Amino acid sequence: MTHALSAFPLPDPESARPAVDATLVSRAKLGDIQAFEAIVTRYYARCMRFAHGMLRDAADADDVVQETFVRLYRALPRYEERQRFDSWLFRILGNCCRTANLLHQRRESFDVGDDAALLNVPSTDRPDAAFEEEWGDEVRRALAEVPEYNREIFLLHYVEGFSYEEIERITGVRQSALKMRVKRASDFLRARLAGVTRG
Amino acid sequence: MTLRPYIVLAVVALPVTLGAQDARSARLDGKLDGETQAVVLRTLDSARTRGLPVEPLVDKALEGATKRAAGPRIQAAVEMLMRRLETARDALAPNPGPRDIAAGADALAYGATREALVAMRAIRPNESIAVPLGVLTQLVASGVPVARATRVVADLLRRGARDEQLIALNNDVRNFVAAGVSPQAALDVRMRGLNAVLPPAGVAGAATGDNAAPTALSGKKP
Amino acid sequence: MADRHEPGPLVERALESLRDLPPTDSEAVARIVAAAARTRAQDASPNEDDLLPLSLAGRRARRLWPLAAAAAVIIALGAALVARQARSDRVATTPAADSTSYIPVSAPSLDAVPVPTQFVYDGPARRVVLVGDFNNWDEQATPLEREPGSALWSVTVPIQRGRHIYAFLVDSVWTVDKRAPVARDPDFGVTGSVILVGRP
Repeated sequence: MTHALSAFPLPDPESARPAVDATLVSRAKLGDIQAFEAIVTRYYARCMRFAHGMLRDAADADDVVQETFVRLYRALPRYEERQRFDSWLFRILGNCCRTANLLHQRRESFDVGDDAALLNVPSTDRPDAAFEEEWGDEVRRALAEVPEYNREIFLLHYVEGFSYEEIERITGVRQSALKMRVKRASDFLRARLAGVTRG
Repeated sequence: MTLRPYIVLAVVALPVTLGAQDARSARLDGKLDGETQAVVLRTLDSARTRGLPVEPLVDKALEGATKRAAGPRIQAAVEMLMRRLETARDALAPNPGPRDIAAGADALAYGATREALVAMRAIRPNESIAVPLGVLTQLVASGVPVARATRVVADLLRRGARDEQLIALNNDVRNFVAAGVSPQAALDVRMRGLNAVLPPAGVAGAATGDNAAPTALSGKKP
Repeated sequence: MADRHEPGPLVERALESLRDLPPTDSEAVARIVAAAARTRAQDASPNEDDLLPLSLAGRRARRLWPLAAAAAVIIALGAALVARQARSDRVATTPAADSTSYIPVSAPSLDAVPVPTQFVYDGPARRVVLVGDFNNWDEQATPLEREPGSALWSVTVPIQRGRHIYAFLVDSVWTVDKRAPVARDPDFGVTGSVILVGRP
């Protein structure tokens, strides 16, 4: 079975990361809970996607994303519009994910088997759903083996569409170091998944 | 009602509370253009609010001024340093000293990971780790991969290596690299020398602490 | 390293899978909003005056005006005292100067005692000054002294233990220390020198 290979772009920044309405943020800063709810709705799926990629235990994703938004809400009065809102959000999310991973590591040993929690039930309408499910599982298992500090930058850049400049602002890590981390994550995934496709 | 007691109180209280903050801000006077100074001062305020040391931020702004850097570049450098200070502060919890926070931020800038900082703190929870972090930074800057440099410094700390031994290790690696030896080989040969001097971990009595990141400290390939 | 690292077709395929967005769970969103609203209620610390009846608030304001007047009077005094403190603050500061922001993990100890550290420059010059992160990069603060009859310049300064960046200004020209490791400078692009300071 073959799959068409797309030419590689980064996710289109505008479609992957629609800028949040500045009015919404201003209202949320003043305590407008409905404006905050609209922000959560806008970013929930992206945060869950990132958390699933980052966390040692995907079952932590709900708690981590909730913690992220609660922290963001409490910090909203200090938010300054000169920084991109999603950069700020993902900075908080990254911190929460790393803390959760640290706590998880202290509770139990690392087990790639936890990624079974990420399985999606395939739709019977899609004949190749089973293959896609297997491939998706393998990808997530491989990603889970990438060291966290490389994985995070890889996800921010290639999945969430942040530029290196933005990631540098989010993390404070130099762009040169960021590029090295992305390359190492890519090299690791390529080597790991090559074994899957050959097998 | 007399004003005298209020004046006396205010004269005593105000300079003490304002003096420390304004002294730091005053060091920037005349060194930065107006807009850059305003932005940097806002960053300093933000850092204070977050409980971060502001001295490194003032130093970074002064460094940029001495190096004749453009205003926006100074603003960006100070802002990014503040973020690194926050990451370092959190990684080196609880209650790290300002030098350790600054050293941690320095290490992060050169590619050290948050996990490495956590690991160092766990091994040496009650003493400053500014020197080990500085050595880690320099090893990485010399070309030693981050994971390897972290494992080596962490291992040496567990085995009771003194700061001077760590500094000597770093100086030797640098000299070998300058002579054309690969950073990895230079580190390997010097570690062989230290292995003859330092006891294994556990015998030295140094705290082992949690292994924060297995990929940073174990033999796993990064 | 190239700005556009190409991950390759295999990783591209992996990314297609990783980019799938999960559905937005409206119940989860509602839980998040409720949790946030609860914390905001817990965080709220209303201004005391907002709770006082207007008559009492007025009385409080009348009690406070002498303080306001006193503040106006002492501004000039305070400015003079601050300026004096700024001048005395020009030397390299110690962590204690910033102690309002954080609590050190241990009591002041030998760790906090600066170490006398010598810097040496070798070369002809009229004036050599040391600048670094230990003296506020001050171009006037730390001149080196020349050894009579030689081109060796030196100065010894107290420096906190750890890693530090510095350079010499040789007749106002930025000059790295040839005998020290080079410090890359991604912030400003001006290479400096590195010194690691331990216990003497």
